[in-house]
Amino acid sequence: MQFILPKKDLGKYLDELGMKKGTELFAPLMKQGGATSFGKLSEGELFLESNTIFSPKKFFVPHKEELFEFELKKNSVGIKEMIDKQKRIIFGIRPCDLHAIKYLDHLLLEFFGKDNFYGERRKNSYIIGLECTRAGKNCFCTSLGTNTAENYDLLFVEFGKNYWIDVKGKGEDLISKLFKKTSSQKPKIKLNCKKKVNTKNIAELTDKNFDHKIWEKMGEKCLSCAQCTAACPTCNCFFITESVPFGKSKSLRRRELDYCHLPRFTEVAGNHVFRKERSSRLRQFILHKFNYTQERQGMISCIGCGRCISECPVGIDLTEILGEIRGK
Amino acid sequence: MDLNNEFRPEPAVITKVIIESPNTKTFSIQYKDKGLQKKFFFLPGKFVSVSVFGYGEMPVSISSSPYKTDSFNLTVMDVGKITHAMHQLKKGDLIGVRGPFGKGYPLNRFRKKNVVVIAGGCGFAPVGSGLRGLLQKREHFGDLYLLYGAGSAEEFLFKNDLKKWQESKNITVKLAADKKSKGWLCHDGFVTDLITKTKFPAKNTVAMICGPPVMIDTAIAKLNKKGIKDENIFISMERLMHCGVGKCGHCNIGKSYMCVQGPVLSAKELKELPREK
Ligand SMILES: Cc1cc2nc3c(=O)[nH]c(=O)nc-3n(C[C@H](O)[C@H](O)[C@H](O)COP(=O)(O)OP(=O)(O)OC[C@H]3O[C@@H](n4cnc5c(N)ncnc54)[C@H](O)[C@@H]3O)c2cc1C
Ligand code: SF4
Ligand code: SF4
Ligand code: FES
Repeated sequence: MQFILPKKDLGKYLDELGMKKGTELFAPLMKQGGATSFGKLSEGELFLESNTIFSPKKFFVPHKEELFEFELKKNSVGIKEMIDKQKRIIFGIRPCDLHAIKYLDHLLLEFFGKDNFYGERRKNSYIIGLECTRAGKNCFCTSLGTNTAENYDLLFVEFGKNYWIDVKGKGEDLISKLFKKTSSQKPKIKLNCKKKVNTKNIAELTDKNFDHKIWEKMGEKCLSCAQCTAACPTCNCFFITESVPFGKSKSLRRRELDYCHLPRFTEVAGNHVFRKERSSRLRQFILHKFNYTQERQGMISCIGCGRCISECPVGIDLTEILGEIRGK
Repeated sequence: MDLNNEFRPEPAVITKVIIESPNTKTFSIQYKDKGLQKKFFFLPGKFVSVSVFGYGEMPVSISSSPYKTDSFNLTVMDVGKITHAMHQLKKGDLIGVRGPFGKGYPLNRFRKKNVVVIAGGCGFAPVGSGLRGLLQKREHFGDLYLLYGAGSAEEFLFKNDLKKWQESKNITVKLAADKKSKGWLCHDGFVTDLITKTKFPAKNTVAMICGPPVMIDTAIAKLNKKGIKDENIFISMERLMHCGVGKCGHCNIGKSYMCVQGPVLSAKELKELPREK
């Protein structure tokens, strides 16, 4: 089903969504200090100029999430699963980030079978996509075919003074009286990404060039700060921690995101670190996206959002690294 | 509640605690759910994820014989937070178990072959399980050798069994320890020295290795030199592991995940992995 919503009514529509009982609404915001990320409307100004610095992955793979609460009794142990049942509407997810969710869905719902914690979050979320009309300076989605997406409940496409809206499945719950039916086709948008990656045979190419000198060269620049991995919408590696909250008798087991750029990621007894060199860790980050997930899941797991480039304090750019390996 | 949650630990009881050395204890474990205990089957080299409630979860190899089914053993060295908390537990206390995970040593492929078991330090836990399995079905295998090294003889695991095996005609045992060791006939040096020093046939021989990372490369090179091919050498690759099911990413090397494709690999498979620094 397709609809039209005048742009000037977007605020009204978001207010409507915000009033839905038992549901929280999130949208891209410019927050104090200038950082852009998803939040509740009261936390900042709606920001629709370009994609946000922080991706919406936090709604599905949060930085820190509770898995279980354990209560050790005399002859038994109480185990409570900490499933997040909060209903959420997330407005304004860009196509590349929808592809990131598609990748996470494949990994955490299909490839491994259903991950309860992730699965419930996905089930309880409405996703409203928003297509881009301009490419950001570090975007390269057009190289990866991630500039349009299908996995949304609602999709907003800017066109003139209106949004053209596509509604699918449970997205019907979010249809408003402000929407007008239309039979017009999805507006065509052409994006001009300045950055590019040629993904042809990229796995074979990077296998062959595993010891290419570019890794060493960039490894020397890299600070191992892990900003890139923290910003990446598909990075989802984690460690499992447990603690007893102060003053409580039950313990909480959590899953927390961990980053392959940090030496601790492969550290074992005797302070032995398997990927000790920064170059090895930088290579792990990039090859996991462009090579290893192709082997395991048949897909590249970089969606070309360019966040790792924007966030890197020393200007490391994976499109340049991969370009250099190919010999341009 | 979904009982199929892969992260959910199953309650199990500690039925016995054995002090192996000043910093290592063996715990006999039985699932609370008798049905689960009955179904529990593993190959040596496989590991379980052990929950010490209140402290966390860690991967531990199973050290008992794969043919023992009423309970299983975990041999744990006290090195940090969770292992230390585990060392405080007593008979009757509860832990949580997930698993077993990973690929073990392919004992079936060792039939009719000579087997050299090489262990360094705590690496004796998984290959010790393998060795127990081999000895229990002794008639299926050729000559058996155990080459085992630890920092000092005091640190040897399974001391009673070691004594028994030393005296047995079923197996040749050679030990190494860094310091002079009372009561034990030991080579003063590394376990890898024993590979060169011990006479064993290269033909129709396989090796089963577990030990610290520094030991592994040397052991493979020395075995190769003796004429044992990479495809007949099996190593347990213990990387940092958190989930055991291929999800957390910690054990990823190249296109493989050591908790799924490993921890036991042949030296051939190991050499096909990218060399990281
Ligand atoms: C497949 C596998 C089998 C293992 N089998 C045994 C065994 O049979 N007996 C035994 O005593 N230990 C075994 N270990 C190692 C054991 O998991 C770690 O010693 C334990 O996790 C340390 O936890 P901790 O909280 O006590 O130590 P921490 O305080 O967390 O750290 C102590 C040291 O242990 C290292 N370490 C921490 N977590 C892990 C981890 N998950 N995997 C590997 N090293 C880690 C740290 O880098 C640090 O150097 C095995 C590890 C793996 C991967
Ligand atoms: S690797 Fe970089 S460009 Fe690719 S998805 Fe992650 S942050 Fe975006
Ligand atoms: S953001 Fe840049 S400097 Fe920091 S870890 Fe990533 S590549 Fe290295
Ligand atoms: S231990 Fe988590 S992926 Fe292997």
